[in-house]
Amino acid sequence: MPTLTTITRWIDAHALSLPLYLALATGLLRAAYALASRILAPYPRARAAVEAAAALAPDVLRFMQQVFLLLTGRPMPSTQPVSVVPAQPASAAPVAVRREWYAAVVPPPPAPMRAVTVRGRPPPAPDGQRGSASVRALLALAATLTVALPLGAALTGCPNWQRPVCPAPGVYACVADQPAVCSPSGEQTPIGDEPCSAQGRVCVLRADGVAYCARSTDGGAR
Amino acid sequence: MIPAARIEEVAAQFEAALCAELGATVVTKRESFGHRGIAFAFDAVAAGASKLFELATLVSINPPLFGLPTGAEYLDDYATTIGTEIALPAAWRAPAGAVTRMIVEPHEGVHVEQHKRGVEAGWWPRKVGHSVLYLCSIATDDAAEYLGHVEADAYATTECVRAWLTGGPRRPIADIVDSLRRHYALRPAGAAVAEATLRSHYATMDDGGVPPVTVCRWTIAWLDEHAPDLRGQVIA
Repeated sequence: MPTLTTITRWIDAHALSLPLYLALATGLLRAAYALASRILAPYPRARAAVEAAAALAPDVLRFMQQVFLLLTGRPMPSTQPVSVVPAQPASAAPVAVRREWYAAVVPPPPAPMRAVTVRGRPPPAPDGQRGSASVRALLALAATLTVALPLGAALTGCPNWQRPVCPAPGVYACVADQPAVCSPSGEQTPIGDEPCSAQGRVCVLRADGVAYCARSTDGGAR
Repeated sequence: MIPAARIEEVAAQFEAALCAELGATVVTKRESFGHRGIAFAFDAVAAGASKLFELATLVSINPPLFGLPTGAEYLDDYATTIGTEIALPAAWRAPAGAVTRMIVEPHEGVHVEQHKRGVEAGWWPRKVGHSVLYLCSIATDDAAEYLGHVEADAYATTECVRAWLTGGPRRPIADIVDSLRRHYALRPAGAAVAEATLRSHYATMDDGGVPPVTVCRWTIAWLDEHAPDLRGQVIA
């Protein structure tokens, strides 16, 4: 049974790889979801189970669709099944084969007029899934989302760089014999990574206020 | 005029000494599976970003453009340091790239040292703080200030070593800061820190010193001891 310390150590050791793992897992899960949806399309209850599971995860594609709808007032174009036209059989093919092809390709002639009542169907409701889009564009979008999602997740964990507070942005100082400058965020930011004494010098402020490592024999405000 | 063979000899000795000093390794980008993967990712992101840009312009939104390199540019035009591994383009590792290596490797060595030293970054472990803040620099001002700080230290090292080797003038500060803005998508807060840091380092060099950056001081000391004949004699 892994302890909290073990888990923390593992995360510590794999901190750089974790976003990569997350990206991979996101890609695999989305591929599995797409496959399962396709296979289970004829089975509404099974499909509902898959949709329910998918709804537990952030749905980036649906988010994009809704944003598109919000901005344009139109549903986002999506894929449309490609109609498959069977190849025309050779003239030497059996009559039955050619008749079958003809029936598949050529619409049937209109029925003779009869005095019958045809129950009308309501017009089809607008379907946001209808339309067409470039498969390459969709692949590019999917790749972007696969990268952007984990990257965004990683960025939400962006830390602060812990530094002492300073009063006036842009003002230099010498801190422990090392130049420093007050950053725009009002934090004392070191310049370099070692004191001036490491090269036999001393930190001083120049006349124009810039802190630097000067010769030890130089005068100057410390 | 220093013979090319002498420069190549010094470059090879310097690389070995730097790696031994920092516990670093130097690899060729195109021979690294990981860096080829990163190049592929850059291409994929560029393709995806292009499509999203198209989509955004359809609804009259003009998103900002990021100056990301293409995969080929990443492999052939940039040095990259991840942890203690310094990855260089193949051309830079050829004999003709000896001077480039001597100028670039101390810069990358500064990043190795920064990684090893770590940084206090909230709840993140100290040893990954450098990488996390570096990656976050496009998202927060605080991290951008960190990037400005570490890159200014590294670029000051580059200019210090270049000036030692060639005896020529240093690259203008404004030029370096502009490059950081464009190539690192550095936010204004980070650019301000980088500029202030470089002003201090240049003041130290104007006074005859070296920037107070450990790897820079070590590099100049190594060159003074092992290759004094190269000082100011190399044509970059």
